Amino acid sequence: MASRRKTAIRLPRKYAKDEVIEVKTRIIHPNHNGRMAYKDQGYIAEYYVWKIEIFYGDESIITVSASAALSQNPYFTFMLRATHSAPLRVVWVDTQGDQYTESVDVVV
Amino acid sequence: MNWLMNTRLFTETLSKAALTRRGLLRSAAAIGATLVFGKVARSEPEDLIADQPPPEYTLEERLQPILAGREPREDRVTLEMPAYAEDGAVVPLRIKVDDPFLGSGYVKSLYLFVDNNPDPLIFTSKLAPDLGSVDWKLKIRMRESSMVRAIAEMDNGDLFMDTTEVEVSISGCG
Repeated sequence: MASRRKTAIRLPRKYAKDEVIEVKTRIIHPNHNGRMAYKDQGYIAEYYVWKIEIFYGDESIITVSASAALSQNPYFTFMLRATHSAPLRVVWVDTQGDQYTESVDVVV
Repeated sequence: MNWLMNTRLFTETLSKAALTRRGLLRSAAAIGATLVFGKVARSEPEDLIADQPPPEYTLEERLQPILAGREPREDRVTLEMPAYAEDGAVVPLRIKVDDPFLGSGYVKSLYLFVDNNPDPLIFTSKLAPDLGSVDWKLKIRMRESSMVRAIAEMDNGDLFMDTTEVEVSISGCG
């Protein structure tokens, strides 16, 4: 586990300018929904990714605000028109305030 | 705590008792205790225990603020999900919107609801005007068999919706 990267973004191998491409993102996260019983002591507290924000260049293009109901290790796949060369950055924020960032370059 | 105390015990033992047989035994015991208790202490997520589960919401409570009196049309949005989901903890889904960026309109927001979940609102989202296409894939948790609805809001305020029924065998809520 330790050697596995926590976050990842995948673009298609080949794409042309202005093509609409599929972008796949994922993060390794337990995403506890706060409803799992913990032995006899209560519940495993809520601990989940509540925001996924995607930036293309400096522009925020998609913001997903989620409740606790995304699955463990949430992945998110979306479409994007590759209009210009710019970094594509994904920021995940969890309920403990931790931020995880991953970025790839879109080159057209 | 255990780990800290044991480490101190270990260093003290080493310096005081030096290399007598008893000293060595004590240091070995200290190392052993560190390994055992240190590990146990780390795997107890005591700060991550809650007395109560989070509050539940009704579908009405979650849906009304988003509809705001508007009636969604059953058109343009496609929600693809398995009819039978074995494990409610990982239910895959796909949301597509037809021609979202043609003409003057674009999809401003996407919402997903699972009627019978403790919190029916799964996510809200905001989209930029020039994405080219809306075709999202993700995985969600479902507590039990339920109606699932995906709602797309256009920039002019029009709402489009698709619903599908999913049967869940194992609850995703523990």
